[in-house]
Amino acid sequence: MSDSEYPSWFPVPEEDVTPQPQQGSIIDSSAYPMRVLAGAGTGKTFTMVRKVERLIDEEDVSPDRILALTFTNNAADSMREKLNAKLGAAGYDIDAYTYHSICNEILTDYAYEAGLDPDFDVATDAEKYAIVLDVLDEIEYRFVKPNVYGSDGYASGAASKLLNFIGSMKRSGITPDDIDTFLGPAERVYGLADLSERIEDIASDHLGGRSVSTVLDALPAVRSDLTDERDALGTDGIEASARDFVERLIDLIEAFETAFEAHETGERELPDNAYKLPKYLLGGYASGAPTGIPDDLDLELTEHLDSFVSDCLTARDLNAGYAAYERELSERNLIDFDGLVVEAAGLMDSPVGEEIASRWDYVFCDEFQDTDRLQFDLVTSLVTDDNLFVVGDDDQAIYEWRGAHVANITDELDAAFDALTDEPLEENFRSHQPILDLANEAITKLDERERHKTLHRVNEPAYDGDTVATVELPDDDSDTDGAAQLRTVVQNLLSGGAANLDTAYDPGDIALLVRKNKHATPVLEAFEDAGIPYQVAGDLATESVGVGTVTAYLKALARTEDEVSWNRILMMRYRLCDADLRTLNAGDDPLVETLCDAPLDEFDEPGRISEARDHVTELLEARDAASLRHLYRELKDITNIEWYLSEQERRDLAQLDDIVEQYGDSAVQPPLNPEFIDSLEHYDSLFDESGAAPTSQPDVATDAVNIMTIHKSKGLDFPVVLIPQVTADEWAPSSRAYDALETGLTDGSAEVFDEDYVTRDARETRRVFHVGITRAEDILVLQGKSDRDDTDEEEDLISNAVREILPARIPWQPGRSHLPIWTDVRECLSDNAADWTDTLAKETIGNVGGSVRHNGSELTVQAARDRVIDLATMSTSGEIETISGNSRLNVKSLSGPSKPSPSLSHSYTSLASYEECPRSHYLDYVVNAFRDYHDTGNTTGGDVSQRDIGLLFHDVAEQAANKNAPRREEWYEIGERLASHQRAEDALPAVKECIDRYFELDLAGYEIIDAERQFELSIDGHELIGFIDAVYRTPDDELLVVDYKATERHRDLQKDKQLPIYLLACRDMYDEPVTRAGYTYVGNIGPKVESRSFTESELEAVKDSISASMNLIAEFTYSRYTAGDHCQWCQHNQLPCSPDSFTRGTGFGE
Amino acid sequence: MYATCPRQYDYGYAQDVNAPDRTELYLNQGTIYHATIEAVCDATDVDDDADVIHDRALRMFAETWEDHCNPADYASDAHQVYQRAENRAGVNAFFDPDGGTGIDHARHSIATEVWVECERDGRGLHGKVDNVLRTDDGLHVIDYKRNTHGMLSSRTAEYLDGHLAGEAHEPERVKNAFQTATYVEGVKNESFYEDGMDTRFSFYGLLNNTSFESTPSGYDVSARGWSRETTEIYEEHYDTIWALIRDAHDGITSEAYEPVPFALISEEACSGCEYAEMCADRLAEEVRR
Repeated sequence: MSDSEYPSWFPVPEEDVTPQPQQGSIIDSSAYPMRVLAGAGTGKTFTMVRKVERLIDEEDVSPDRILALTFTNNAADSMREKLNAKLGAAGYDIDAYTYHSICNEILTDYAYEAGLDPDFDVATDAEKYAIVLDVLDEIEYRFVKPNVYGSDGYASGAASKLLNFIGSMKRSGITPDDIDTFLGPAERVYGLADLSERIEDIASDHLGGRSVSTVLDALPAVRSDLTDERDALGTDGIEASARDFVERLIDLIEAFETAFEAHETGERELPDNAYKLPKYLLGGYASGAPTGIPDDLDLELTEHLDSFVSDCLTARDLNAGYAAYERELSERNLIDFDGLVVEAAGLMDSPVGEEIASRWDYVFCDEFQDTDRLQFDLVTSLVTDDNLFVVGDDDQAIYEWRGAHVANITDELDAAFDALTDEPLEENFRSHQPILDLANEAITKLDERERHKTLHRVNEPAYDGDTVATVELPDDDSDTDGAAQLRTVVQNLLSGGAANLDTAYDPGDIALLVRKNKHATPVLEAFEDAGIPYQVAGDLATESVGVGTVTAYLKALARTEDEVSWNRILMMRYRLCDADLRTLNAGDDPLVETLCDAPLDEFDEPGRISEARDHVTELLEARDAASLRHLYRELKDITNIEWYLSEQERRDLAQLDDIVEQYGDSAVQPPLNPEFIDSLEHYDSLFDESGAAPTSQPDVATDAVNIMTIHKSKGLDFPVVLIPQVTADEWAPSSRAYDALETGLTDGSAEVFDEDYVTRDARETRRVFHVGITRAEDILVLQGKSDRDDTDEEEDLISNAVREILPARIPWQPGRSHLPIWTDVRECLSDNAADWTDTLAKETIGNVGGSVRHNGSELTVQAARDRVIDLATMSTSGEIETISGNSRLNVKSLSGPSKPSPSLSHSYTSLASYEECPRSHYLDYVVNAFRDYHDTGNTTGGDVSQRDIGLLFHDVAEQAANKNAPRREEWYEIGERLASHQRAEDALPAVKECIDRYFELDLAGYEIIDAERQFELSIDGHELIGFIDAVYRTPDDELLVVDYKATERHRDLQKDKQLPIYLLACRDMYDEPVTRAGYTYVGNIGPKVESRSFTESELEAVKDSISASMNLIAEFTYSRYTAGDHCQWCQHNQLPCSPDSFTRGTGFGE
Repeated sequence: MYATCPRQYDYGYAQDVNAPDRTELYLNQGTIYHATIEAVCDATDVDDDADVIHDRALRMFAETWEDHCNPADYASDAHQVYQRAENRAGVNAFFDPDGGTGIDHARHSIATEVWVECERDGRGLHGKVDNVLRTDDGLHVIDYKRNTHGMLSSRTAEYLDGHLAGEAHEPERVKNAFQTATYVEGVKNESFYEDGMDTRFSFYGLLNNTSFESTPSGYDVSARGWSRETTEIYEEHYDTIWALIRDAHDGITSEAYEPVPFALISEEACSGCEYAEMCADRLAEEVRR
């Protein structure tokens, strides 16, 4: 592959990376079990891979005796690729799995022992959705309302409640039986329903005194009443939890007695109004905090009992649904994602557990802080002889809310393994030190942080610009969400004009990481307005017009009576005019019948009607027979609908692609049906947290600003990170449904009220912030606002008094739900931090976006856009008569060198393109124009493009060289794997033919010196980059540069400049002279190798010639073009410059 | 619908584009309580005993639910049972023998489900009246609703002027005003109207307040309804209401479907519109953005 970049999956050998000292000692150590608490960006995966590599390479451990566990498929694949790159084929033999896929593997192998049908499948979201709907009638509706949906769709209905409940319980390994045992019969739970009210009555009845002494006198009566309540409660399950709660209140009353007595004897001072506290804490005031008690104290303790009992009442109803869901899964021979771990952990606990564990000698675990309790049990049961290596970061534990058990990596490991060796990893390779300083400083605010790590940057590159910048959210109403500020910041980052910046950044360098989805919405709109490209990671999907049109096509095909969808397609895809749409909608016949049957002469634009008719007829025929997946592909092929989408919309479409791909059973996918459309509509509301798990990681855009939640960004890094809306309100911690119930069921009845779940969430929120900060390499931009501090001194006194009086068994503290995150940021900032509020967040530096001249005046981009629309409107209504020369819109940034030219990297292909036609070069390499519409009916050479074949063949050749795989079968194998990986199965047969041809050549027997070697050639101040496909050593001991050609196009060895460019590049790369280069044809016109030698003077002549071309290219122009044969390959051959005879061929951009 | 958005009217009525049914369930429930009330009123004499009327109402509710409810509209049986309980509670409370408003409505009903028509300045209006009661002073027309939340009230009547001026978007309240005008005027053209009769109009929300009580053995649903009379509002805002009617009538007859003012209409109406996905006006906005 000549000039393209490395594909993302490409295994890059890390030979030239020398481990840092901390990494080295971990890699070389033979101490097991070992725990590495590794800070962000310290190369923990690298270290783990190296350690595995050392075991295989130096200690002769067989790769298949090593089990490596990670959270995402990407991570498992990448680990395998890295080991393969270093160790060759042996690297592929290592058992690298995700925590879920290892369970799937074990259960498949030991299905009978696990009591499963060996043909079980893993349930998809769609199947879970179907089962949940099926079992709704099993729920015992008493407390839960039976409405399946309401005004907001399915989001708040019974189906959604049940799914959430099942998820919460299952992830903690809690079964329906456990819940039944804990709760007991409904009467028992209802018996507790008014306990909190009775406690409030006790407080209200006794504690109305208006001084410390009168309240003190009443406290014994309260204690006695509470004791009676406690004694009436049972001692197991839910009653034990309630009993424990009342006991804690009795402790509280005793603490108040002590404090008030001390006050009465003059030993202790209490603030005014302190006498109101006992009544307030016990919920005795009907309308919340009375005068003198701060509202944000947030300590009406009976609320905690109330919410726990309320969760139990919900659970009592839903549990029957949970049990039915489990039965249904089993009947359909399905296991859901959470169930995999439950079943596997159970199996490991059985007699075969030992046999399974004996398959591996070493177990390596990545991201261990994200494991849940069951995964911990699973891992420990897989370990033999204590050969466990665990790496993770307790400061990056951000999935506690989804069941992760943070203590797994700390206390639980300590308890499970006596001889645990700890090694630190604190040397960071990612971020500039000021960013790390902020991260280090901010994380110290975390209470109960047991292990302290301090991140230090090593090998910090030269950098001259701001690293940490803050932006204060505006006070006025014009930009309350600060979206305009962030848009301005990004515009400045892209232009790079400001002195505070080291360089200009590409959109793909920048990430907007949000705490909540809603923080992204206004920014997306601002980016859209400013034309800033962005890509939103899965769980933030926004409404996309283009995706809506594709979805409408599916809806219309599934339900032909849905005329709204037909109208949508006919307007947006077929561009029917209003008159024709009205004709179609008129009359009593269904629209689709009129579309297919009405005489064409009834329409203003019969051509469009006819096109739509052909497509619809064909697709309706395909609908009933084809699988959804196939129909969807046909839909895209026949209608070419993607051409009508913007780049942004094409990116957005990926999500629909995945849903279609996933739909249905694994064996035979059903055809498109109304149920699929239903599930499309309800998916989002029911599975809003799917994707928010540690098991999925988004694809990162290289050409657009990446927008995702901080949770999704874990494990990724970006040169610039923006975190919006860092305010106490937006980052406020909260408790979640079933927190207390889950604790009771896993830790025991008396633990339910042992912890404040809001405080726990506050800790997690700080870790989320830490993860966000540590994603940044060069620049971290934090946007936030200080909280209003309106507490007065008296209120502070009350809060302090409460803190002092509360006994140890009361976990709730004043102001628990307030996390002063922005105040903390400001405290932790170093003096070097920049404030961009009035600079880069306020105005653009330089003329961002350019300006446009029209009719002699200078217009802003916005005004020019409006002008274009006005002109278009005038032209359609026939109001424009003549176009004069000065009415041309003149875009300075495109037509004149008014500002520094965009920096261009040249490549052989771009130069060749320029020589063929300056306009095509301009469109493809300067402004990156989108390709022309092409009619798919007019392709040559079947459905597979030559380009796809070429790409896959090149990839195969590269991997084969890197894996040292000289045999045809090995090339086949690599081809099959890559085709499946890249979803390029269609190209595989043709690629295999190319491989066959390659192996007919003598070349196949030569030694390969280099493959896919990247070079950078500097010629007269211009940069030329590229990749050399391969360098071979011939039997005559001569080096031969080879470029593979899988296409039908023949190259002229005398004229083409590609080979001499490679030889010029080789001058710096090899110690010995390289003078011979050639093309290796493996396509239809092969097999053959055509090569020749180049003299120094020939090379110098080529150098002069390309230097001249590159100088010319600097004068970017659209106006010059050359028409010719090459137009048939051009992506823009629908422009008038192309000879009429050409329409676009498939071999473009070869 | 025209007051909501002229384009929506264009799609819904002028072009009659078939949208996928989404509100079937609540439409059916509306049919059920309307049919129940109609049947009870038709079967009741002025001196019938309250308990008899109440029993009749519950019996008729059971029958109409059986006839009209389509279980396939519900995702679960439990949902259907719950909705039935809620509607039954509404009917039960309405015909409560101990002071339920429905007892009075049934006893004094002189006509149910009547098409009424009226005309002013050549602009004709028609509509179907749920129930006409004979009062001491004349006639009282009733329109039954699930609830009257967000409907025209003396407090919100001034919004009608805003809608007329294109400064506010109040299609629901405008619709309430149109209904009031049609019924108050239309009933005067009926045979049971006598000169000098006082004509009044009220909405009645059967399920204005519902409560869900949870017990160890299941749940109980209770409901409470009340009426909202708009006769006085009609009289006070007579000119505005008829100007609104003129605007809508003339817009429809002249096929003026441009949604103006667009910013206001799109903000208020697009999210609830079943034609939003095909609406050129809305999509053009989005595409342009």
